[in-house]
Amino acid sequence: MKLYVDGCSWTWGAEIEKYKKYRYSTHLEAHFGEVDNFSQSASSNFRIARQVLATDMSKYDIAFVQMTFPARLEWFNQEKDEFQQIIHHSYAPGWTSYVNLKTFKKILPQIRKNRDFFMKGKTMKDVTIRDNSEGDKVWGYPIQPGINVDENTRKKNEKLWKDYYKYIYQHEFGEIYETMFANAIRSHCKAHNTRLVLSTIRGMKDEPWYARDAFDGPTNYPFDFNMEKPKYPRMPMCHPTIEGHKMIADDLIECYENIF
Amino acid sequence: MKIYFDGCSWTWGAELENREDRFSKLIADHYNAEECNYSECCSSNNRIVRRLLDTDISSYDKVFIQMTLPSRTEYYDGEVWKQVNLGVYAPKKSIFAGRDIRNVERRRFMKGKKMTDLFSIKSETGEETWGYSYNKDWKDYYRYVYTPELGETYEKMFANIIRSYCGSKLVLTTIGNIGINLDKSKYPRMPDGHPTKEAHRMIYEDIH
Repeated sequence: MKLYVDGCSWTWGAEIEKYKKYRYSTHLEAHFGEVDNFSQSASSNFRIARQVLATDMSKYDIAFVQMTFPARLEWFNQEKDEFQQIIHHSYAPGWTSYVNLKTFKKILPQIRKNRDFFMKGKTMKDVTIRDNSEGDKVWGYPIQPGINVDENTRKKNEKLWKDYYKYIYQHEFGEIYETMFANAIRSHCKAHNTRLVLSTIRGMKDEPWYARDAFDGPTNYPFDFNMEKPKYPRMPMCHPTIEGHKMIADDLIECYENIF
Repeated sequence: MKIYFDGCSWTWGAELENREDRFSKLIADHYNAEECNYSECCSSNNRIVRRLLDTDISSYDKVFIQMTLPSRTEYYDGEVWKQVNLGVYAPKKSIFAGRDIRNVERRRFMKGKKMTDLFSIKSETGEETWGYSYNKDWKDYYRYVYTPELGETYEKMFANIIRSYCGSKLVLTTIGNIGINLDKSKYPRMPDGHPTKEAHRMIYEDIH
């Protein structure tokens, strides 16, 4: 059997040395057969859907697709001739150190209710881009080459992205696009007779959780599988440990067997 | 029999005196079917796909989707979805009247131009604003972020979504790049570039 695997840093194996050896897709390969893992750290749902939709899925028997935080976006960098991902404050490094879980649970409703509160005083690091090179993380804002990037222009562009998340992006937009992309992935796999297990790292509403993203919160979409479970051990930046990946793989296999 | 239609102003029948003359009505009449036309002026491909995937397509016998210009996008303003239109067929009064900006290099085109010549934002309630809404960031979006590569890649993605979702029921047309091209010179046009009544009949004959 041949497997299609895609997702963000969770599926890529972030924070793990020798990630290709220990990430969950390697365990799936041992169980099912050959795996093509297309995941990228910092991926948006736009990239994940774009990759799936551009693939002839009839080449694959099973697809394990992990969707990510809906606030993420992407853009095309003409200079590097590649798409780059735009992250809006998902698992910010070390966030658990400045907001303990008890406090976080307490302020979550306020965060979701009042974005201004959440945005106020945050630094540029709340919005980041990342290119496709492994480990090459760029803090800042995307800007097309060929534009005269003087200080004023750069500031303007920084403002553009801050304003985008402050004034234009709405949770409803993210939720509805998550549903749209999830349904698109489902119908594309169905059209090619590929068995799909669609998962999320957002956490499902009404399920126990460990470190849900402050901005996006849990999803209402009926995913097949939720990776944001407290039982999976985490690394400092909240990605699964080696043990966590093994547990996720075992649970994904069980989930697959229950569905098909 | 029910037929699902969606698209932008071309499918909506913009500039026609009587929208009974639009090609969707002619196609529905041809099949003696119910015309379910969900098109909206200024639509983006995002809206067309979003609406489609929210629909149980099994209740329709045929699906005619007209994709639009890939540079268009949409956003949700907290109450309604709004379409952002980097105009191709600018209004008559515009200095760009009749020009197809897809063939014009983006930044050269933007240089020194008034943004009010380029944009309209239209809400679901039909309110259309030339220029910017409360937020002028769309100018910077098209200047610094949007590229033809982004638009064309997403156009392909949306086309694949539509094809997978609709299967054999689908007739896919376009005024962009993917599908049966409706942007042909043989179709007579109204002053703002939409098909005339005669052109709608020609389109019907070509695609039904």
